[in-house]
Amino acid sequence: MSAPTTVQELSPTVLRRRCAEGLALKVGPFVVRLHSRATLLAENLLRYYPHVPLAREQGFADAVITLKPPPLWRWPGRRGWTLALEDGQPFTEFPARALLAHLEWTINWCIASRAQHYLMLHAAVLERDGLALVLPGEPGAGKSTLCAWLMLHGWRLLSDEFGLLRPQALRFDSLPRPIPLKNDSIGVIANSCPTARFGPAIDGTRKGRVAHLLPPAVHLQRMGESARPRWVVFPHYGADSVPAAQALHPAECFAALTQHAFNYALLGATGFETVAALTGAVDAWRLRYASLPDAARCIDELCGLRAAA
Amino acid sequence: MARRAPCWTAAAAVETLRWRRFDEAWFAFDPRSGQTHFLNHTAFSVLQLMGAAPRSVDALAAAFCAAHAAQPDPDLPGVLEDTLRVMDALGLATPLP
Repeated sequence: MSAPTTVQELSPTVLRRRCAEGLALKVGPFVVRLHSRATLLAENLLRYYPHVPLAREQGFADAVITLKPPPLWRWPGRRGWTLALEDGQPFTEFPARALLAHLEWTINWCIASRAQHYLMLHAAVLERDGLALVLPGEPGAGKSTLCAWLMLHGWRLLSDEFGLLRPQALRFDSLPRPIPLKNDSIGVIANSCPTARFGPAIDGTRKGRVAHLLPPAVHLQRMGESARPRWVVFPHYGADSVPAAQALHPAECFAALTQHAFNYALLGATGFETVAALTGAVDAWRLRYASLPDAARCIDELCGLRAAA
Repeated sequence: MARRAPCWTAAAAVETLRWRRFDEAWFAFDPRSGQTHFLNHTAFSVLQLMGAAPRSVDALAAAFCAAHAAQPDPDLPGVLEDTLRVMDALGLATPLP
């Protein structure tokens, strides 16, 4: 019998035991080891990460995350779970139903603070035919919502929060993880795509209501496939916007990309050279849109996937 | 006695900057400060002229006109002086003592 390769291939009993010992998962190019004796972790993994590939049990992990149950002396119902990294210092407390969201945010924290061998763009990245579409976005620009829509309409999700660009190879690595949708976007995607699967909606976060949209299994299976940058689109959602794409001069694109790179300054000359190479490799636009189908149609046209109307 | 106009140099900057050009736009990464600067073609040309040899503002204006086959412009020295002050603040140009 072949060894299990994804979370769902482990029986609940084995999964709980592996979690107690430290379960290593492949999260894009990273290995994250999750650790807890609490059944809450195994339950959440089976529900929300069934297709996530397993990593080698005894090997290097980029991050070790431990789920700690609430202290016994707290009142039931007011008990806070916590996640902690290798140093044992816990992040903020959360209720049991918010584990997925907090686990995702903790993984984000690890990537942002540790993966400095990448140029990290605050961008969604999607792929078709080996070519990457980069959607950098200010908070509120509609980046994640548009990314979710495209993911559900023919594009493969490489990543949502972090565009991971390898400086030397100039390729985006795949980091397909649940997409955090906020407020009205949750209903928009859920109503238009009934097959879309979500984690629990969490109220009262800094950005309001948040629910994580799970990536399709096939996108997780293709986690090892990187993509060559080809298009950059800076999306701007506006309820009254007439859909319009404006081509960006490379100088504008370069300047904008430096603003959207988390670690541009930290990487120094490597950051400069990488953004310059990225700029030289892509066509870039600003896209104003009011509806997701319009935006998707426009992007498909810009990328030559559909004839212009 | 008339004071001698200061000479400006950009030798250190020109030696260390990394450049990328997109048409008429130039981006320079300065490893000394970690900053990235955007320069139009005029500013780029000024920096190169100062990198080649220290010059006073008037000499720089003359060299600039010669390099671009332009007629002498009485307003140019004032514009260059403002540009040099900005470049000084960014660590790209330095007045020589």
